[in-house]
Amino acid sequence: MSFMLFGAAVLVFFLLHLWPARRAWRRLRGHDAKEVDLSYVRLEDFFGRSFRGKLVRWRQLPPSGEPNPHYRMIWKGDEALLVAGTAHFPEAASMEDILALDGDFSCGARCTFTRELYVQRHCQIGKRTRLQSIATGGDLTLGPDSVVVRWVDATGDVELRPGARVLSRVTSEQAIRLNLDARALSLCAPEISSHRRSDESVEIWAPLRPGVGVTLLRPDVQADPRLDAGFERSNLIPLGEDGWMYLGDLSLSLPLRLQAKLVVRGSLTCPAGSYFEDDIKATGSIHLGARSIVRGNLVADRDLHLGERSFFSGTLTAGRNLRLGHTIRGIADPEPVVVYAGHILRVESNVVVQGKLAAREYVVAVDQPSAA
Amino acid sequence: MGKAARMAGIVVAAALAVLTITSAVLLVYALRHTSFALWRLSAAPQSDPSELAGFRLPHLTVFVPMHNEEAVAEDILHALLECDYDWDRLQILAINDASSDGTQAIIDSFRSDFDVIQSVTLAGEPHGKAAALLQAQPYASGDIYLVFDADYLPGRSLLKMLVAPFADPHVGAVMGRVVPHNTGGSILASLLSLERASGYQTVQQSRQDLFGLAQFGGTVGGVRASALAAAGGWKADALTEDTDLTCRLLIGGWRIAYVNRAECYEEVPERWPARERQLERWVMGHTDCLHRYWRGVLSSPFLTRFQKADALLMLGAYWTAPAIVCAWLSTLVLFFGGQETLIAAAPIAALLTGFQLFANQATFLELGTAALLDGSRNRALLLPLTLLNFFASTGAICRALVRFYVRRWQGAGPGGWNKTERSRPAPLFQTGADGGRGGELLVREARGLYRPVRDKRLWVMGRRRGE
Repeated sequence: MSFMLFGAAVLVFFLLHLWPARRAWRRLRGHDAKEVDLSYVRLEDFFGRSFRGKLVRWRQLPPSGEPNPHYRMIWKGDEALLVAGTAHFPEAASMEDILALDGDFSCGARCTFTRELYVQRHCQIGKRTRLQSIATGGDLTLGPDSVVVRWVDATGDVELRPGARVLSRVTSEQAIRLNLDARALSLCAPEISSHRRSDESVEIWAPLRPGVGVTLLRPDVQADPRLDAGFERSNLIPLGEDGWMYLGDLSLSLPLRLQAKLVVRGSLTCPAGSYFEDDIKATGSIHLGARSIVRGNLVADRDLHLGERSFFSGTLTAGRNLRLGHTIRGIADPEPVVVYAGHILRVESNVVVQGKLAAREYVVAVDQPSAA
Repeated sequence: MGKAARMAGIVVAAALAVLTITSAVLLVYALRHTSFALWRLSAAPQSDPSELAGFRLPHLTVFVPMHNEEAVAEDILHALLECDYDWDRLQILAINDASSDGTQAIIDSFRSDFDVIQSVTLAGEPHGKAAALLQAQPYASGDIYLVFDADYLPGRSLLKMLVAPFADPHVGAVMGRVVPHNTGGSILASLLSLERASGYQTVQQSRQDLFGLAQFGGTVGGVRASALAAAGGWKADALTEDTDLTCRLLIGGWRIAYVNRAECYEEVPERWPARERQLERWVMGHTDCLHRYWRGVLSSPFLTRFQKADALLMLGAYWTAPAIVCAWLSTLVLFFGGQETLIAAAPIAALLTGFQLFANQATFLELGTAALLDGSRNRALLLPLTLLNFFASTGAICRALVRFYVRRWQGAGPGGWNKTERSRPAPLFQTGADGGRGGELLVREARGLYRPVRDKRLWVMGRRRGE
């Protein structure tokens, strides 16, 4: 009897499980999944583009309230959109409405704007001002220690003054300038440059050809005897018809000229003047000396450090931290380059990149490390 | 009497041994899959190559093998044309594998309008997917090959997302995520959608993060041409050419990247007979790969011990079904074995109880984790119904394994390829009022921003069944 009662209880308990399942099925029945947006196209300036598109529609709504010669107020549900011409906000001003300006915009220090800003022309943000997001049709200057909680999108130049922070993406159709300690999650523009001294040149130079004394590595020729400068030949294994795999750490004493793909199962250290014409991967860290030239892609599962005055024209990716030495050039050839760090991307002075800098935590402009 | 007692003792001892072994095996799988679920639930960052998407565009060939796919051919060709990949670097190979319906006519109509699409026609009997890919490969000009089954619907940015990981020269293949779109077609389809979500959102991503060992699934994925050549190319005799290639790539030192955000719609079987046939092919193909490559996996100098263990567990995954059945049967034997066995069986019973509570829950934990991460909490309520799928699948897998080993004992191969039945009644894409196809095509300029190159109208019908 007790067994039958126990069995009945188990059965009831089991059926109770099925009841919410049946209800869930009845809600799903007959419907196709709509989770994947087939029309989605990945755009770097998606946020700015989306906001501009919505703004065009919002501005077509009728104005509310008393007519005013200086501005229009448009209510969109329980959100307010204020449309005006040129505006200047004094120090410590704050605003909780969406602001759309057809002229220039400037604000003093310590202002707070909790909603999106759109500025048709040029924009100057005072120091320690806090914004949600901003889109401009002209140039934008973010003052020292200002914070943009979401995105920045500009048709003109963007300058992040020292200490300015953007917690999401910065996109520009012209150029982005990062001053010392300025940081963002991602920057994308035809030209991104970091702070530089007045005597430093911003000229984009063509990479030098490899000098005398480099070692060669190509899968279709016998390995150069100078390979012994750091290589264990027994650790070099062919990987496909156009590449090699090296088992273990690789620390070279001579500059390397590489004409094949190379995967290092360990860390890679190359002295100054190395020249990589194809893709390289290290499952550890990569340290390339000064004046290195990287034509292919550079991938490190851990840290990546590219020495000063180096040149790259592909993708640089690090699983953790990435550091671009001073006076590095990343030139689109012809496609834009991209640099991505799984943790933090540090950019030293006088770096110019044509493309994108991004990191999981942030991209920050830093000083050169002081000489030991 | 003495002889009967001895026999009974032998049977009980055998049952104890079987239960111990199967419980140990299942416990290993339980630990593996629970780890996967907990990893995904943790705040640990996942690798995401989508930040690189669109910046380096290699020359790409997209293979679409088709055998009697007139119900779906137009949709996938439409979708591929709408992709935002630079057409100067794109080649679409539509492979007609001895179709007897209107597939070739559909391919020809697209080919006449768009140079980016080329047709490869295989005559005679259907060759199967792997053979079709092998025969079409000489026509491919790309450095990267992507493969889509004909019933898939790639989104506009999917090609760029899938090729992004190939910036890493270590990556030999890439896999995206398949999402069933016919989730409401039947209870089975809705349960399979949960299963797919678990397989990709939980398992694939975890294997990628923890071991760097994703699995190439044969569709919504791709392979580097040089890696394919180094691994020996497509194997026409492989029942599951995807698992076969996965093994050869891993043994050869290549990595397979998984891109969780590269999502693509697929159709899952809505009726059990179609599902059973699909399962049978996977089971037999997978197990065949286990027999072919277990030595290679163990001896590969490119895999760490953890990677070797995970690879072998992946290949042996279908053996868990007969292990579960053996565990149940031995439990029954022990239950009826009499009082004197209880003392000996107590620790085993504890193990079994722990396994039932812990190990089986690993699978359901994965399913629930995937539903949670996908934001489909309502769909997680279907979990109790997965018991039905679980029991049915266990039986089907056991039958497939028996068939496999009988054929193997007879010296026959793992079996022929069966096309999965389609349930889509008509194309989802409709032509516009002007008879044109396609929608707004966006081309990325060198500045990294987009402009439309052609203005066309696109209609995508996401309709309820019966409309």
